Amino acid sequence: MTDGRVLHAGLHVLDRQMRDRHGRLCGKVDDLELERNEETGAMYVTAVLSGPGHLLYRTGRRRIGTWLAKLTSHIERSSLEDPGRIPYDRIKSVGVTVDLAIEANELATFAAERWTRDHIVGHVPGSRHDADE
Amino acid sequence: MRMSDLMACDVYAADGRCLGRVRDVRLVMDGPVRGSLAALRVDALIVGGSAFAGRLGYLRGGVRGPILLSALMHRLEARAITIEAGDITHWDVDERRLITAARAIQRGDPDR
Repeated sequence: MTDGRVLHAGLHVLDRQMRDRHGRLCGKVDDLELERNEETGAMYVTAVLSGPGHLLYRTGRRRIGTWLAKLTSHIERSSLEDPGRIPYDRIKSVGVTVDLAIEANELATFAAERWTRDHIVGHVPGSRHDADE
Repeated sequence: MRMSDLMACDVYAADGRCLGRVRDVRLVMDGPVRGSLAALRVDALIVGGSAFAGRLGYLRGGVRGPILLSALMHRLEARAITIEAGDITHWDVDERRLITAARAIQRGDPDR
């Protein structure tokens, strides 16, 4: 074994709480993307995958999980190419929580809630102000 | 490839003997720096044994007591083996099948 910090994927990374750049909770680590370096043959983690589609995929519902992840990516406006895929270089630290250098509203975790707010609840008369105004 | 695909694979010895399913993956943070952190490299696969003991943290998580429970969990995990990623000769993740040529297989808790 080498000198680097040792983590076990199932025990220390998967299902860990994620926090955005302001410390706000923004979902869980649902899966990891791996890529093999063709020159060295070593395999590295290249991204954290998060969101209901990736969680479904991990729990064995692969077809509907893939479909839902694509749907989320399609409806969500984000600076990320895929809001369910957080590139490894946007991770600040891995500990009790996984801290990200990214905004919570750019991620897929609450995409369905945001879409419902913008496209359904937002059109209901009276929904544009606080209840106690 | 996804971690969940890797953790759904069965590992076979070169002679065709099934060694068990991948229960966990040991990652080492020793790759080139990407953003704030060194890249996480897949170092080894924990294969076979009881997933239950591992999930309770009795092995790789460093949980040591109560002593009777700890002894039971270590006994359950005694069947687990650790296979270095470099010893996997064939990665057929789509077929959920990995083949190793490792001769020396480390049994039990890999971190003790």
